[in-house]
Amino acid sequence: MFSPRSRIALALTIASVALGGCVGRRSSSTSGTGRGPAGADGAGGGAGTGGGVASDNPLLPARVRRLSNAEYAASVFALLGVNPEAAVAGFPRDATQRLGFSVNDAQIVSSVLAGQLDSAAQALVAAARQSGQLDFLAACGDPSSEGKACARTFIQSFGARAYRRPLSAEDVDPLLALYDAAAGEGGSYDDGIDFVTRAILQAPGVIYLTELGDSTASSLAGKTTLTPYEIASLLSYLATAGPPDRALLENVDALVTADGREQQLRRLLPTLEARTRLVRLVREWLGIDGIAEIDKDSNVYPSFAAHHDAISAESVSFIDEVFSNGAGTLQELLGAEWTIVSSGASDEQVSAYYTDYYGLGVGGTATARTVLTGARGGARVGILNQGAFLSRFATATGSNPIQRGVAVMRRVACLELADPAELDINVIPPVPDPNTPKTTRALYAAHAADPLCRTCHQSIDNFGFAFEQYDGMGGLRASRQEAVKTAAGIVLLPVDTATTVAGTGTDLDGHYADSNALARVLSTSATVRACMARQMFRASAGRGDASVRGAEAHFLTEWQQLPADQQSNLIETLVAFVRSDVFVERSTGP
Amino acid sequence: MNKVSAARRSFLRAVGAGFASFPFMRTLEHSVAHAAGESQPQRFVTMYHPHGVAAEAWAMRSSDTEGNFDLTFTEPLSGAVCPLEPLDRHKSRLLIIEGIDLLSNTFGHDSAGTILTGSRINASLQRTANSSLDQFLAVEQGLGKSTRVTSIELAVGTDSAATGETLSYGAGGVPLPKIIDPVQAFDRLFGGLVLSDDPATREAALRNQRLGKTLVDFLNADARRLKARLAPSEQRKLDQHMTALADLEKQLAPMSMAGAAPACPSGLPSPLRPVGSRFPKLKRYFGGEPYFDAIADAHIDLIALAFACDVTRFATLLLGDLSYEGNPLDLPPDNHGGVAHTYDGSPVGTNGNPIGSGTPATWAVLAKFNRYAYGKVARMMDRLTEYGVVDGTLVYASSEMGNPCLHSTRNVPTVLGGGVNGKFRMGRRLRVAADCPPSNLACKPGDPAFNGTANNHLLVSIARAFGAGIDSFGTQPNAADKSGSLAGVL
Repeated sequence: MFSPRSRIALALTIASVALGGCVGRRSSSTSGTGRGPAGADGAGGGAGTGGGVASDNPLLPARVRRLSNAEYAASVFALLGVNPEAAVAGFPRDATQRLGFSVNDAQIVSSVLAGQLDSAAQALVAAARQSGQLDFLAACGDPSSEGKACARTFIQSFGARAYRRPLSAEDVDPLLALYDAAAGEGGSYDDGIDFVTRAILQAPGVIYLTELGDSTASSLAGKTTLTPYEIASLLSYLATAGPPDRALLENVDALVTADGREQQLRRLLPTLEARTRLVRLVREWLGIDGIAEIDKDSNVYPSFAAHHDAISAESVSFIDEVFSNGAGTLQELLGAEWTIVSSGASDEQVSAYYTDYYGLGVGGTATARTVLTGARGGARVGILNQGAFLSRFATATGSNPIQRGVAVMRRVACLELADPAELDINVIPPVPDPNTPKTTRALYAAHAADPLCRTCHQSIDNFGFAFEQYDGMGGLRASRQEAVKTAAGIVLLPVDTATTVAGTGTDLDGHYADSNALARVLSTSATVRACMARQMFRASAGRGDASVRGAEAHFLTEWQQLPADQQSNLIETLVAFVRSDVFVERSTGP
Repeated sequence: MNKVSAARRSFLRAVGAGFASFPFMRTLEHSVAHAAGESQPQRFVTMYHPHGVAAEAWAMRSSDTEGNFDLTFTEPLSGAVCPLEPLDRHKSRLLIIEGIDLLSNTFGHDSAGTILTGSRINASLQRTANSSLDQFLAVEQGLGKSTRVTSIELAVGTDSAATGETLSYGAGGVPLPKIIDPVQAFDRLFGGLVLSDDPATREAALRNQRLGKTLVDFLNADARRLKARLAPSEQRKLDQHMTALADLEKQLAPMSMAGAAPACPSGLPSPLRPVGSRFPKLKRYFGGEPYFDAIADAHIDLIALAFACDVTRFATLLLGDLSYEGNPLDLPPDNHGGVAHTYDGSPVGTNGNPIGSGTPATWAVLAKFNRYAYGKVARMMDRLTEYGVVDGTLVYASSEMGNPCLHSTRNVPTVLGGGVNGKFRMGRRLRVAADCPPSNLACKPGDPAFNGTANNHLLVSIARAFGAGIDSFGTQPNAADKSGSLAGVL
């Protein structure tokens, strides 16, 4: 059935790829293999037009950012009140920042997307016409005599909501010309309104958020302040992934003050839209949104398919619970000893998850927190010891301490590592001896023996080894033994989760009995708090590469003024961001 | 019957005779008649199939020669039929090359991006360092400019932008999105060409076409207004957007305004919009598995028809995995784990690198999957032949790996089909020089002994066949790996 050699070769190949910086020379074009917490070096450019030149400017550049697919859907829903799901379903996926943030200022409009935006716009217009929504939005007493005046009124009201600012004559006139083109030549008033709406739904001024300030105002020393309407949009998309509501747009002048921004952000955060956005943000940060794409070798993990929905649902419910009924802190996110699976999976899946996966011995559905101290093998501490993270950072056929270690270092602790391609090293899978079975951990012993490998791997591997009590789908290894297939059949080998992290130069250096012990330390670590703040910056600013390292450092300095308990709070960190000058000022320099 | 009238009749058949009275349709008809007398353009389609090959049943045997080879043999140890067998009927139009390496510098599964870029993969950024050959030719060399659609990127089962699942990249190595729905693919290719029989729908479509330019002009003006406020580095975003709008304009424009009009040869079937209910689910792992085969066939037929009608000249098609419980090939439900990783190969296809004698039973299942993939390549060749455009087309079929159990990106299977109007000598099998000398069979890229043949050389050869005067293509640290054409192809 399953060749032992191929399994081992796979594990080693992935391992070798993931680790990177062991051997070889560093490319001169990259910076900082990074010991200690990294600056913005490692977060990488987006998958779009790419990162810019490294910059220590304390401000983000004046720029535009294309809405993500989710943001676009929320925007058209707010405008037309018709379900946008079908219309945007075929859009190309968001091109994400390196770590997976879908808010990414490098997103482009490709030829495929341009075509789909137009198709979606036409479908949405047709749906809004059918639902009566456009009749309502563009009501006109006597279209035959007042059609153009009615169209102007519609353009000014609907257009302002779409562009998220009042329209000038320069905005209105071209739209009115579109109305004329479609309503003339035998077309009707409705034809004209439909055509204008179709155009607005794909207009560059609508699908890009601007962070440009007022170009007519004099900009001082290469910087500009965003207009109140731009601030309203940024704040709204940051909080809810959707456009500003009426309360924001009617009070834009208050947004020029930090208090005004904080007040609006706190008003928005309890909404369903904001909680959905926060869940997305944390899932993207930790990489666990990728669970949707994860599949396992059914020969090795026959039960993964049955648990997949519950694993994914748990990650959503748990994060949501941390924000809705918890305080939104790292202590809870990384250190909670409970879980919750309240949506996204059937009752049967949830029941099976608790009994088979966690070994809790209680079936039934759970819509409240379930304490995990009674789980098979003891408590599972925090989100890193849950199924989504453990399955996502593993291979199809086994656990992978390298992926898990790299994820903890890069995502949770911001300890940067270079990539194999950056290091210009060649990755050749070693051919192990099939007659000498080894645990996954033992396969990586070579890393510790080779002085070049050791440079990076004494950290990577030891973070990752702590998770070795869990297999490739996050299931607890029975009796703390790993089943290893060999030519002679399956042998059970004891796993070792005790690790010593050294050389990171942070408060994370130390000895850990297992990943639960590690998670408890991560949940209160100053290094992790600062990393979370960096990640919130990257996820919110839509960029995290070296081109904005100055702005990121600027925000970090401000964030460090918070009391320690607020520093570990994701909500307070976002509040600090919108209060910051970094949020409202932009560099206009080269 | 003369050439012009045949083309005219064929085109009328394709669009439905009822529309011949519309003014723009008549213009189109004249253009078709005109274009039929001109020399064929060159078209390029790349097809990807995952998980490498069972080299034991795929590679040249000792009895084969460059010009005389058998694609129908049965490998004796495993009982596997040569997976290239479906292509046997196109043997004279094939150039099968073994020994090509993808120097991706990353994990096998992440390496599909190297096939058309010749670039190392940045696994962390999930991008390549340069654009793919199809985009280089279609966009940068302008060869896709005159057709209604500059290029089309299709896939079966996955719309991931990861390098392991993306063939086409724009400038700077930005992965281009793929269409996975045949209905969407049809609309992109033929949406403006075929009009409904329903008079009201038809009138609306014609109106739309009239208004299309007005719409695109507005969008361009809006983009320009925004661009004028941006610093140069930010302006690139709007430049890219306006490039996309130029394609939208071609899509929306009446045929007479869309550059070169379709030149559909006679005997062509009507381009019919695929029925969406045939593919109710599209994505793998999300219920799309049972429709894989129908989606693949629909994509292939659309590409061939689009080539024949000269709607586009550049396409890529990424075939995902066909494997699920109850699949028609009777393969294990998990192709990745149950076929590719189970494959226990012999030294064939690994340059003699000693890896043991392998397990023949595992070769047969992988060969079966390979045979399925080459069946799809054969379908493409069938359609292109049927539509009379096979000699003006180059089909490039490859995989991200050679030996999938080792995740080796070396010795990847390479099959060229068609003709590029005679610029490649077809009807041959070639084997490039071994990567390593017998004294050092485990040599690797970067070693002095390494003598691998990167696919970059093949990309240079293809680019030259399409008239691009380049000497190197791709991004490799060793200049020799990316420079010069592939000896023996021309």
